[in-house]
Amino acid sequence: MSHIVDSLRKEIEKFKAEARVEKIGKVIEVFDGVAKVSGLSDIKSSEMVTFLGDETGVALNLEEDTVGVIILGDFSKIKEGATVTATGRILEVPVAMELLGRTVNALGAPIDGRGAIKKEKTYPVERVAPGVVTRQSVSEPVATGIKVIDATIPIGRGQRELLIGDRQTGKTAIAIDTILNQKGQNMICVYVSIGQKDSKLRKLQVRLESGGAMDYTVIVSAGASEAAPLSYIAPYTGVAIAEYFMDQGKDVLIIYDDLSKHAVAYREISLLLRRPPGREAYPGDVFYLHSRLLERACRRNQKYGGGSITALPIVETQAGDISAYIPTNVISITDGQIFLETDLFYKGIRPAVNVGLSVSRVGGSAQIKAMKKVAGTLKLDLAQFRELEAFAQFGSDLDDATKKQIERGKRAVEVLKQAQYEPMAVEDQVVVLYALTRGHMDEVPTEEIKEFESRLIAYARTHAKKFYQDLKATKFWTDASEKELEKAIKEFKETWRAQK
Amino acid sequence: MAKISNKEIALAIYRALKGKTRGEFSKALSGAIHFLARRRLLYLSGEILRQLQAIEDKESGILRMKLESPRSLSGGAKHNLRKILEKRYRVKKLVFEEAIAPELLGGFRLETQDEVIDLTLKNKINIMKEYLGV
Repeated sequence: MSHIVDSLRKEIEKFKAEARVEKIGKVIEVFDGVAKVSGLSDIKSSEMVTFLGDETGVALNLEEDTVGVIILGDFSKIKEGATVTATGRILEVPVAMELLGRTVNALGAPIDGRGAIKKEKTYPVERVAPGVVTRQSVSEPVATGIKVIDATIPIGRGQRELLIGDRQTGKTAIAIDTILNQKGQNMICVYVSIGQKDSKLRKLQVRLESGGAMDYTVIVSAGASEAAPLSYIAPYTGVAIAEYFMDQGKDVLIIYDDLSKHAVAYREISLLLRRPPGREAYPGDVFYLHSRLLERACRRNQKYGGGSITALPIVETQAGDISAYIPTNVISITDGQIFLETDLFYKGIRPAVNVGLSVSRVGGSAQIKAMKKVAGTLKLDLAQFRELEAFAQFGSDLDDATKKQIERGKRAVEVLKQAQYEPMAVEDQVVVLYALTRGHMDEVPTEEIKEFESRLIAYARTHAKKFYQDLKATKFWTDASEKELEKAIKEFKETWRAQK
Repeated sequence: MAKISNKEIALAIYRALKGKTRGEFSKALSGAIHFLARRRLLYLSGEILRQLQAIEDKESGILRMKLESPRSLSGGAKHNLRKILEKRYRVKKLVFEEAIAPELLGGFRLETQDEVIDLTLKNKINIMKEYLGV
């Protein structure tokens, strides 16, 4: 007890309350999370203000007589004539290692009912993205555990890869699988939920907890029931938390689910602030809204402490229209996109990735050598298969080479199908794709491919140990380990045939 | 059409009324009110009057300051305070609008235009509360 009193006394002795001049203003009007305030001269853009010492706001519109402020909290308590105090600080959020495993709101306050988070420091929500001298090119992979992505649209640490598609096509599922697969991969994950239903968030939280992924994950949530300013600020809070971890040299994966709702929240704020509407009623700076956010994803060089932020923004399209305003903006900002299609989803091809329209502009250099070797031509083969498949529907006679290509394509499609919450280790992926591309699956009927695949993996793990060891150690195989794998596959095929 | 700010309206009214004889003054004033009514800006009259007062005060070198304290300050204390503030704000005359606020516990609080100097005990306790992370 005396120890507590002593430390409290020391803290109080250190305390100095200096007299300072505070800038204040008066609320003129309040509407839907936005306030117009008079006074507040010398206020900076994005400066934090407090209403009656309780609610926080951010100054967005600096006009001659008034300041347009977004209210980050309960605006129903704020009345006309209420005093607003400028803080002189840009909006910041508390950060700490304790954030891991927690769910916080857009202001960094815990909302999971597990008590307060002791802050280590605060990080500004708005920050200039790291400059070119601090960066290095993408060269290390982010293993998503999803075959079709790791093989044909690889993602590198520090990359920004867009997940785009209509509603109910599996965008969030890919994001969750990617988080689940980061276990033991030296990666911290930040999931930013923007304008999502609380039930969806709860489901996701439970899924991550049961998969042991919350140990290295932080969830930032601005729910559908919260005011638009919180949805607007949430992704910036998420990236500020990610930057805190990156500044400690860690690799961070951040998921923005989703930026379409973020743009809608920003449109709402902008219209309430009477900013001129542009295309689809979005304000003129909606491109900058996302570009300044996504530019903060980077891979920093060792001189500047290392670490990286990989961003996986999600954008929802309407009826597959990727030429709408927000999708085209985000496509042009990111380093590639994974396009998910409703048609493929309902055909049972899940993940419903359209390999032809999906691209990863920088991920190729991050792909491990073994994967590059086995999946090098997979994307092209699949594209050719789609073309030939359409051609074959006319029922015309096909030559043997074409028939073979179609059969191989069918098997490739089957192999790339993957159930949700079942991310696959990269070594297993290499084994499966090796067997596929070397023609070992050509005689297996397509409906039996899934069974063949799972049993092959189990067999190879015990009978091609050297191959697995080489892959883990050098990310490639040696001639000896390749022979071992070839032998294991042949042996497995014989037992498979005998059993059938 | 560009929006006219309250400050611009107040400045225009001030310039229209300044140096006018009694007859001209009432004519100009009635014109200003008609203008506000025609443009449906009468609801802003409170803010425009505040701006007018600010312009008038600025022109005549007056600074109005709200002085809040738990009990009335002594004449000497006010005199000293006035001297310091007149120097700080470089004004000819400083007018205190005094108010008694027992909840401030001690010290005093000065408020002018959009600035506040809070030297109350209540504020110090609040700052300490924030410092100790309570």
